[in-house]
Amino acid sequence: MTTRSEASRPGGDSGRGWPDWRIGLLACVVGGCAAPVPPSLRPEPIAWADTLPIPEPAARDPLEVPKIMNDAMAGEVSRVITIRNLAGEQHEALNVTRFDDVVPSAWFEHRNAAYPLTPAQVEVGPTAGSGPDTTGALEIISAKVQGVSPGFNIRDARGDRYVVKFDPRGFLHMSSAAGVISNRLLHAAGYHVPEDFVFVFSKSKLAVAEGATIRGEDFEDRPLTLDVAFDVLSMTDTLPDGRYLAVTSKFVPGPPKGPFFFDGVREDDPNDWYHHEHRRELRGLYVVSSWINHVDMRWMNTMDAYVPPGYLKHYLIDFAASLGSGTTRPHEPREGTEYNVDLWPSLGRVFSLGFYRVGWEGQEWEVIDPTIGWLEAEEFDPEGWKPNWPNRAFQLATARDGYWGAKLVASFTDEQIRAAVRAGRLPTDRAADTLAKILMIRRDRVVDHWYREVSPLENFSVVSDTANGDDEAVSPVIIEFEDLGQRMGLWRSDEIVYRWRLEHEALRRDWRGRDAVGAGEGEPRIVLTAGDRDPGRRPSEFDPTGPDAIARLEIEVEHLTGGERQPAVTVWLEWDSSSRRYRVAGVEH
Amino acid sequence: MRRLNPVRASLSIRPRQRAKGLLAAGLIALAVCPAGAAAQETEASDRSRSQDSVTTADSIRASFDRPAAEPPTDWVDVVEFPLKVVAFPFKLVLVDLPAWIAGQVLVPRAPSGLVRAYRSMENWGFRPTIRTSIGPRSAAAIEGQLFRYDPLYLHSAISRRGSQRHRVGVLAADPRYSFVAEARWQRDAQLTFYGIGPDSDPDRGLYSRDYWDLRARGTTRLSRRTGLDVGIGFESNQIDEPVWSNDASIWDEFDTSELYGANDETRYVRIDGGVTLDLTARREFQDTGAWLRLQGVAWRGVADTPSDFHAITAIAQGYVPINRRQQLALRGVTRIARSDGGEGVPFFHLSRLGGSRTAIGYSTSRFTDNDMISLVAEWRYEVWRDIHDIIRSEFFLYFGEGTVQNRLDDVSSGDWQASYGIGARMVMKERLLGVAFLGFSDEDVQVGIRGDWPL
Repeated sequence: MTTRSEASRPGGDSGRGWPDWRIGLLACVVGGCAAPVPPSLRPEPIAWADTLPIPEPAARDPLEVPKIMNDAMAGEVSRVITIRNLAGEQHEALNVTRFDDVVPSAWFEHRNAAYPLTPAQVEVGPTAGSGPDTTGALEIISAKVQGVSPGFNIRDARGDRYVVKFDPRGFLHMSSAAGVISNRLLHAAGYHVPEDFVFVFSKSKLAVAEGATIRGEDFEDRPLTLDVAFDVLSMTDTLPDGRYLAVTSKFVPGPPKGPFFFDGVREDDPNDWYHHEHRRELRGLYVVSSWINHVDMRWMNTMDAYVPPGYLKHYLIDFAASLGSGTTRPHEPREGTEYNVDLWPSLGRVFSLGFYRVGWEGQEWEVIDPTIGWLEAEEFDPEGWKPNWPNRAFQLATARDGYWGAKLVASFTDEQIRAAVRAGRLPTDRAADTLAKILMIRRDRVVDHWYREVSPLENFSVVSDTANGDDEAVSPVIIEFEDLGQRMGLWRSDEIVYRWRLEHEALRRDWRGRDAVGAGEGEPRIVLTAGDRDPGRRPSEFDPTGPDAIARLEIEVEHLTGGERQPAVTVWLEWDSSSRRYRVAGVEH
Repeated sequence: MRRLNPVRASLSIRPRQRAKGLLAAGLIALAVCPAGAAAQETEASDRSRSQDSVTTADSIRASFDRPAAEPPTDWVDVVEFPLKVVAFPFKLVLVDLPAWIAGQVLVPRAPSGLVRAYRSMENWGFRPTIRTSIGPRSAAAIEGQLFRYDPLYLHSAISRRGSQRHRVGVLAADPRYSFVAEARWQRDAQLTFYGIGPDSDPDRGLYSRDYWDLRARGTTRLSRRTGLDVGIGFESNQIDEPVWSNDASIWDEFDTSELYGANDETRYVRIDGGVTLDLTARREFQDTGAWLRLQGVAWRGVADTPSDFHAITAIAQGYVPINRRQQLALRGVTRIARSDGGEGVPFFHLSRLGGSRTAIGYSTSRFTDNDMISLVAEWRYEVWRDIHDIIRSEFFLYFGEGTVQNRLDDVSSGDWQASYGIGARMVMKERLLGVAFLGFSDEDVQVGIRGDWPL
């Protein structure tokens, strides 16, 4: 078996022997640090590469408290008080293609943003049925009576196993609806999630599986009785017809192997290549989580499952603490604004004798509806949003990661959002409509924020490039693209111009320009010409190949009112000798 | 707002990437599904095939040319490296070690043999305890409490300093009434004495006090807010050299002929009574309102003890919430001891100032005289609260003034001893879990931690 240390891992930490990063450090000190490499010359991530067979790893059950303390204290200090942070030299995600995207993997698959789902597909989500089969008994195979959210595991008539959890008293539908709606949205966004359902059943259907036991606080296993299940049921409300409503999550295929972390790699998974904090899909998950207010997005709510034919698939699980639900109560304004243990506001309070106030303190709020809970709409701050616990991948997310995540969020139409909300089976149309509208508002705020953090231009193509043919004259190079800001209605074409700069060192080109695109003129485009600058060399004089063929084009969206310029998108162009024209070789937002 | 599919188009212009993906998928399929797999195979051949698949997959993985697993080293890493080296021990001590300890303490686990033995003893009716305190006159003690024959109880404790307490009695209690009758022998091994009056020197002398105490006490709640207690007892006191200490004794430092009780065994009959008025309400981790107690105790010398005296103690505590996070807590305590004849008040029953309840910046019992008064104001404020509203931590700033005098009437402005400090409290909804404080005064700095962790 190829171990992590045996495998080539440029810049990686083998975990054994002399770590690569120290060798890199030595090399950096001795020989100087390497300049960034254009994406077109870098190796690409490989689709499905992490679904190769591996030996079955052992299940792990990490301790929660040390991880929390480390993340909340050392993690926060090292995040804020670092030269990297002060210098703004954050590392970009590593597993990105040259077009600033990820490849499908055991972590993520392109769904709605790449291949739009129908509203019905969004509503069905990852599910293949309608939930537990209630034609027979629902056998309780284990129960959890302590903790924040009591529940039990059942086996239905088909033999399928499910986790069953309930809404808190007084808030029937709240956490179950939130859990299922978020499940559908995360699935449509591209993440791996289990099959979650809103499930209604009669108490009389419950039975105890033969040999089922329950572990007490003394860790002694005792026979499980129906009374234990009834104790759990006594903590929730019933429907008007006396039946019970719960959220059920079907066991994923394959044995569970414990959670994944949002940093580091899993040492017993040879497929786990990129350090998780540098994975684009986990960094971008910050934006999706902020949209659905999933404040409990942390490693405790993740799961690795050893799925056929023998690899670890990485699931997000348990979404009851999302939208307006705090699982056992409605969310409060603090959630989404401050970590549960937030070092800096706490220090602020210590030294200000308690007078230091964060925005949420003193905020007037009330539950929107008992079936929804509470979540922000117009006041939602996509950049300032925080989960309840620090999450390394979220902390390292850059504007590029945020933009990538925002594209996932932007892909949801109003109809798709309503379809996802329908899956939550809220009891009234009014509640469903309210929640859907809040999600739409939050989506628009996400898009409005992150699409202004970069120049959101996509799908570049070189439509005309006669300049560098046999004609001795140097003609314009025309680049067409999509302006997602325009598409989303954030600005009109007559409100902006595109400021661009083309650098092609081998051809001695350093061209600059500022192209306005009037309303109704079709797809945005820029025309690259030398203008009054040196036209440089013609390719016919010097046929560039390899690194010499790479040109760098930077384009900024500049707003005519106010002069605000959004950070440039870099488009890597490559001179193709055979067709004698540029082609788009990569994009970095 | 129009919707769009920003990713689809970009996918369509990535032929090389897709080709690579297809190649990998093909290799993966080859690894996972070897040709000619029979429908029914033995377990051994399954294992063998699985091993082959993993081996093949390893070679495929080794052939991958893909982006680095971690970011390349850059100038920031170079500059930060020495800082990380310097920070490492701090992180180890301030974060990693406490995190590890907390993890070990809080992790749910099957009870160890020691814990099971403890629980067995407790279920049987015997509760052993190790008690520690850190702060003024800190000591560790082991205790054992036998309650199997309830309402009879037997309790013994011995501290590292050599103090002992042994009690036997009966205790009957319900929500409105309680009654206790108890016989106790106690040795306070290293008590401190700094002299009489507000101007006493910081040089101290130690002594030990052995005493017998027979008492009966009853309490009743007159109303939801009012409690009444009365008691009668007999005590016999013997003052001696400090136990297990080479520090100066009171006989080295003071003229003990002036200290009644230092050289004679004293015996008293004691009658006491008190009334408590609790006007507090607890909400959102904070008390609101006032708590008042007035207590009087009269000692009458018996046998060869020519001394009668009494003492009155008044405590008033007020809690003024500013908001749900900030609060002003006020505490006033006074104790007046008076001779009723004969030799009067023995020195160990005089009023004292200093320690963890009054004048925190001073040593325990730093000032002694007939009368004592202490006024403390404490600014408490929340710095952190658990998201589930189960626990919160507060910091506090306090300032206090206090003094002792022969008569409170004689207190002058120069007699007041100022004390101030900071501290932190860990509070649950219904009770205090622990307090840590740092107290300052003109002559001392006191550090203290006390806690009560629910097990």
